[in-house]
Amino acid sequence: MGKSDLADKSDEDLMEIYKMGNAIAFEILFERHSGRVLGYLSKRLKLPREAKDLLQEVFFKLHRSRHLYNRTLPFSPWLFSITRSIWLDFLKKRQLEDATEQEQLERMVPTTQEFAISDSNAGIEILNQLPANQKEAVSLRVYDEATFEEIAIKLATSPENARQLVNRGLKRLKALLGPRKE
Amino acid sequence: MKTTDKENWLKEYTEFTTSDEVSVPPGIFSNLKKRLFPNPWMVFGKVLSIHVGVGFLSLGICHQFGLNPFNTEHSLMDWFMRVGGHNFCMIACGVFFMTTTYLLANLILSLEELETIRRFEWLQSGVLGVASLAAFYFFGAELVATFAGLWIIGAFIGALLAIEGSYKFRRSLA
Repeated sequence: MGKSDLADKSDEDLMEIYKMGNAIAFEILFERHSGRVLGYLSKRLKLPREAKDLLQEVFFKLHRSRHLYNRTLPFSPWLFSITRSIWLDFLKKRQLEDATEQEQLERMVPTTQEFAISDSNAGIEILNQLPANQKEAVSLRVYDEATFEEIAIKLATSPENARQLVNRGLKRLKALLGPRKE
Repeated sequence: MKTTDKENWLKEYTEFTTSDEVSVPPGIFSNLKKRLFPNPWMVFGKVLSIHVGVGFLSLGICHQFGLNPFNTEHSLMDWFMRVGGHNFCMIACGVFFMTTTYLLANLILSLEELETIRRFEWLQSGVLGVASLAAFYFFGAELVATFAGLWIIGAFIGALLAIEGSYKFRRSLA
């Protein structure tokens, strides 16, 4: 069956055809719905790149779950359920990352402050041992309380990369400072 | 679903259906297509590489047509021969030779690649089976038509069972 044969089919029919292995049916479903899915995700995410990544994940999950689709139910709510679950998974993952990082910061900041008070020159010296971009990312995050988006703009990189720089910087700083005094 | 959850869901669903369409860059679909529908030739290349490695190593456990590159003393072939005679041995050796390949492929390849294998399972198993026989012949095995035919039947049975079993197992995990 060619694209023109399938163009008039309903979404539900296309899903049935797709379940039987016709990739063109998937292409038509993507053409019909990807714009709306991206619109929905773009409203919820600041970064267009993240929305585009999640759009791919939505259709990837649709592909992997296609055998679960029940033809008697309308396609649109099913697609929405997938989109929503991908979005919620993304949020959970992000919250988990933020919580881990927050925990790291809480463990780090008193140590660095104690260190800075006792010997500010040595504190600066240790911070200087970090690579330049990590040092700047950590300083911006810890002392200026900048968001990852702000750090990313200052360092001309992506927010994901900014997050990684902070995490790596903190880990390295912790290793340099040694175990925390209780 | 609680009432509030249901209400939230409905509210969000309405928002979803009325969302403005955003133009999707064409690169997204082509990336997705590569992930979902891998090129059959690429997948065949991977299976062939696995088959060459695994097939060669499996000769240490089961000497196909008497080939014994590792000079091992014991072989499944001898056991198959004792248990079911020559014909059974040929079929069982074919089953073993192909099953090992596809079971390892199951661990290495993605679910989508397994789907691609499944789409061409007869063709792929046939080509691998015949190529394996040709390789045995090349390395000095004496092939008799009847035995080679039985071996090929075994190879098909092993390949199809392994492909279907692996795919269903992976599908259940996805």
